[in-house]
Amino acid sequence: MKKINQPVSIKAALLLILAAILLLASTVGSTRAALTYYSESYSAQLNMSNIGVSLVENGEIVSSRNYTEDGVWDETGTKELLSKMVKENEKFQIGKKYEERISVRNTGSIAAFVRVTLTKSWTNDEMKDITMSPDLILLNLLSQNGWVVDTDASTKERTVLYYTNALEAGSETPPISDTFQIDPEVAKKWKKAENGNTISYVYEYNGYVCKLEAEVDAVQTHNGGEAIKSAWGVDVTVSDDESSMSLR
Amino acid sequence: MNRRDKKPGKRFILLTAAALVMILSLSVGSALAYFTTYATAAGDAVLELGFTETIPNEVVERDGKHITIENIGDYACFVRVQVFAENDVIYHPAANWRDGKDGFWYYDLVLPAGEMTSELLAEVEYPVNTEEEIVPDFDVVVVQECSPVFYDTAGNPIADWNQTVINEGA
Repeated sequence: MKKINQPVSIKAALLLILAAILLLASTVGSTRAALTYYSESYSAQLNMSNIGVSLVENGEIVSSRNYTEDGVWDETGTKELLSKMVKENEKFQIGKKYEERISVRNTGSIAAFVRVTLTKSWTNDEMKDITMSPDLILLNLLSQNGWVVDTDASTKERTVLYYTNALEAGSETPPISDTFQIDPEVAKKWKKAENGNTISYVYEYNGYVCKLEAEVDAVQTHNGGEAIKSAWGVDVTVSDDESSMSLR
Repeated sequence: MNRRDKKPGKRFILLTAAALVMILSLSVGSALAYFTTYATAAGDAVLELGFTETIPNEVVERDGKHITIENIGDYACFVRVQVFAENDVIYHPAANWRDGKDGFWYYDLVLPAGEMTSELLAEVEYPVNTEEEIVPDFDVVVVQECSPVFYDTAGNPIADWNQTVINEGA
């Protein structure tokens, strides 16, 4: 028997339309519910849920990215680290400990979970030098202050740290680090040169550039576990009150 | 033909697929709704490694040799001095000079580029020809060394006298 290409029955079409209406109704349900609670006796101020985060170096914001009430991203800051480390008329000293307190400030209007990725590297003649160990760049990380290192995601070059407490709007984390230093061993790599009765040495790593990069990521605390999984691809356990989290 | 055996039509399949896409789109929508942001910063520092140059300034007077060391190079350093003479040498150090008990006198402060130490007076007993009471020529040799400034694990500046630049005067 030859199959006849019949139009969809009215019954099937109605059912499909009904399903679509039900789906749409499910999205506006919360709005309707909210309206039923409205009372003329009270007025409510509606605050936009704006997320924002800033990197702070030695107490000064160096980079911010905040979502504004105008619906645009506001990016500010010099985005520079180590720029004020060496005083004017001074040279960067190998082995000297320089103050380098890196922290994160919540510059949005909602609480957020944050993580920081620190990257250390060497360049020579504007080319990345992978033969020189990033371990020679010593950024002293602090512990017992809410920051934990994700050892699975970290390497010699990259360190990933999570702040385990929710960062409330306007508040700042404890510092991740306190000092920046080049391992004094770097200054022991030299070659001897003699000129008459003068003996001098030439440093092997003269002109090398040590580089430090920092990136902070922030995500809402509401439904934090799923939000972090979605945004960062990491499985975490968030407390019931969404005030803290831990890596799995 | 039995109605139960009838295969679903193309339109039915398409409409069913459309319904599934609509349902899935709800979950996709919620995933995109999470608030996220980020901020980045970077910086660097150049290793300017080099040895400086220091010169001894020696002024001979009746009371002995007045020694100062001047850093004429581009890098800070530590300096130390050793004096050789035929007779005994009596030292009269100004501030920050210290007897290392190893033949050297050490200037304890970091000597920045372009600066000079305080004075170290090396008093030498003159050899006298008793018959003619004439002071013969004699040498007082000053050897000064400088070391780069290193830092220990606590961040304190230290010298490494295994890496020295030596200049001899006379």
